[in-house]
Amino acid sequence: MRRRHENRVAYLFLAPWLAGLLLLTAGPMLVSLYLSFTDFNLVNPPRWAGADNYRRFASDVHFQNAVRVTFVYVVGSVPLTVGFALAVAVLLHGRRRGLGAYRAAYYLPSLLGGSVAVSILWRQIFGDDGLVNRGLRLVGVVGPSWISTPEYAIYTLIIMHVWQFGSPMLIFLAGLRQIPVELHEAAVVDGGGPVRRFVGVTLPLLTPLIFFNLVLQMINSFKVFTPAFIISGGRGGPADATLFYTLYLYGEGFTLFRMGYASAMAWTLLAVIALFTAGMFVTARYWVYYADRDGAP
Amino acid sequence: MGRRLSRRSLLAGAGAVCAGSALAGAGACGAKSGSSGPKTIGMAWWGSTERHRRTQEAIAAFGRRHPEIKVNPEFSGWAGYWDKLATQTAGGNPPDVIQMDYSYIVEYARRGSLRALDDLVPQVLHVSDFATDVLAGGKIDNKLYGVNAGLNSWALMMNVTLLKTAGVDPPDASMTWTDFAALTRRIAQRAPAGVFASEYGVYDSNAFECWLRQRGRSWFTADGALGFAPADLAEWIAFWEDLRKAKAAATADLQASAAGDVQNTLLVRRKVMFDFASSNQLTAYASLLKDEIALHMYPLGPAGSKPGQYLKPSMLMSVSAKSRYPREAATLIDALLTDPEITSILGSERGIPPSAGVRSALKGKADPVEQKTYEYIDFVGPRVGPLPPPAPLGGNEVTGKHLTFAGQQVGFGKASIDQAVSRFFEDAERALKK
Repeated sequence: MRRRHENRVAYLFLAPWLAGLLLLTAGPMLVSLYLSFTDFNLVNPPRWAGADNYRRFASDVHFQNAVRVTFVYVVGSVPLTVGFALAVAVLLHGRRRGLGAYRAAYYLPSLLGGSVAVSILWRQIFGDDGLVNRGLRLVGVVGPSWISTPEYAIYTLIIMHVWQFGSPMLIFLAGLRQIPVELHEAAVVDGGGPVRRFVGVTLPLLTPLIFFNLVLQMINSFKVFTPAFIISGGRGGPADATLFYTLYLYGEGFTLFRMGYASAMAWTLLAVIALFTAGMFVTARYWVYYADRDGAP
Repeated sequence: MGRRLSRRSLLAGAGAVCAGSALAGAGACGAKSGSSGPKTIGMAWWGSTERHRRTQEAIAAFGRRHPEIKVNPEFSGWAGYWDKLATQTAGGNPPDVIQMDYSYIVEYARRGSLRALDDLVPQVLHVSDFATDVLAGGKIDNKLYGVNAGLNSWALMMNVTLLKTAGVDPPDASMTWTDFAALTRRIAQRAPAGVFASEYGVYDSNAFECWLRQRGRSWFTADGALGFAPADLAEWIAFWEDLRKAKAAATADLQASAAGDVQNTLLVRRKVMFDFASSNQLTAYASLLKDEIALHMYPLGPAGSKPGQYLKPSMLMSVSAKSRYPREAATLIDALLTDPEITSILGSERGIPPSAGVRSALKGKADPVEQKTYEYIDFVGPRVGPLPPPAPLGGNEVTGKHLTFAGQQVGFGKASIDQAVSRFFEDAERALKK
């Protein structure tokens, strides 16, 4: 009796969140699934269009370009960010004096996040008169406007993503703390040097966190929006070089009012992210080591 | 314990709902939106810092005159403006007074997002001394959806200081496109490294329209199709490619970095000496540069060709169809365009005032920069052609996104002119399909 009463209280506490989930997330999502099969343009009532929107992907070169750009971004930025975060975490792990200040300093860029301010800063650094080109000029090289040249624009955005390695770094730092000292001591006794110990002890024990960071970073990279939107003025330029999937989706939906097409794109993105995440979970069986399970490699 | 907890949680829940709705702007909890308090209307505009400053001052003056109306300003640059307005319109909460552009008005009016203002003329909107063709710019299907907020015409901005440094005299009024090409090539041989004669104007939709009209074509036909042939676009791109390769026009990457508002333009950044712009923008250009800036008409076509330019509403003031207070919104528009005190704050920054009375009152006390704008419009007046019909639905996508894409594809060497042109016609066809 008392237990049921407490349940009711719990539901009451949950109610605001539950209402939000149903009304603000689940409801609109289901509507957008329906809209993705229509020609909805915000004004006229939606007309059923079958799979037309999905079929259009095959002939839309801007769409195909957006897919390509997004994949380059994900493939480039995810391993680099995770690798970089791990390297810095290993360097900052330990109990020497002053390390705390360094950790804080390295985490700072992530606090700023993929914000508007950082994107504007990036435009200044990689612009025609930016920091990079001023440096190059000292050694006699005249650089292009990196951010507005199709060949380089995407890489400046990848660098920006890597620069925000703070949160995976923090997770790795916490993971490094969890590794029992005895294991390292035993390895030392067996004559293992620092490299051998890193590969043989640290890395296997960190694989769950590497996996976790890879998945999170991948999902976030697929959804990247703000940096390209600010840097290219919302157009994905130059010449579609930074036209990320989400940017194209937004443009089709909210600038050109093709809500049906934009909804179809959104659901396709959801499916792709789900597919890739599932794929990573499948591979995880072969390389992620959980200490509390027997029989793992 | 359990009971007390639940009561407290109920209260907390109610508080959260109130906070939530206040965030959403509903204001249902506590505050009554009765008729006694001031009526609040939103006004949105795009522009440069100079316009933001002047308009906010004007709104303050309006508030002193009409304490019963409270105005919430929303302002931004050009690019973000349309994204935000589209999102607000889609969400059903657009601002009451919308600064509208001639190229977007059909899109918004035909989608039913704007309120026809005919019933408020002349009781609220005193437009009797606006010329008929000035008002016509805001009429769609014979209904007034926007009141002209300023007259302007395109203008080639020239940095006279830089031209003189390069040892070149500013061109005279007879300059044709051929002369322009020759002049920029001449400058290219004298300009310091990194400075170009002209911007890379290949995807400037106004310059292209001017060039089209001179040869008797147009961006769009009256029934909303493209008004030119692939060969026209190919020739236009080739013209600019020659200048770019001769280093007479800016590089493609430099041009790509000039997206957005006046402060990003290559002219303001002293990278070029000629910039394709609009006459009312002189105020913004001059406020950002110490150099002497002059206005010139866009280059002319060969002898015997038609006028390319026209006098256009630099922008219009519209009222949202969703506005709860259309009368108050129109009162604000009227004050911005006809009130002596308020118009003198705004000056000619939005273009030459459309009201004849205001124009003659302001012309006398205009500062030297504004004086140039008045003189320019007087000069252009007899040299222009008729106002083309406003862009059809999807037109902005064509003149903005797709032309830019074509120009950048070629400028960055990603596609040949022919490939870019056929891509453009494919994209445009889809955009204009009803």
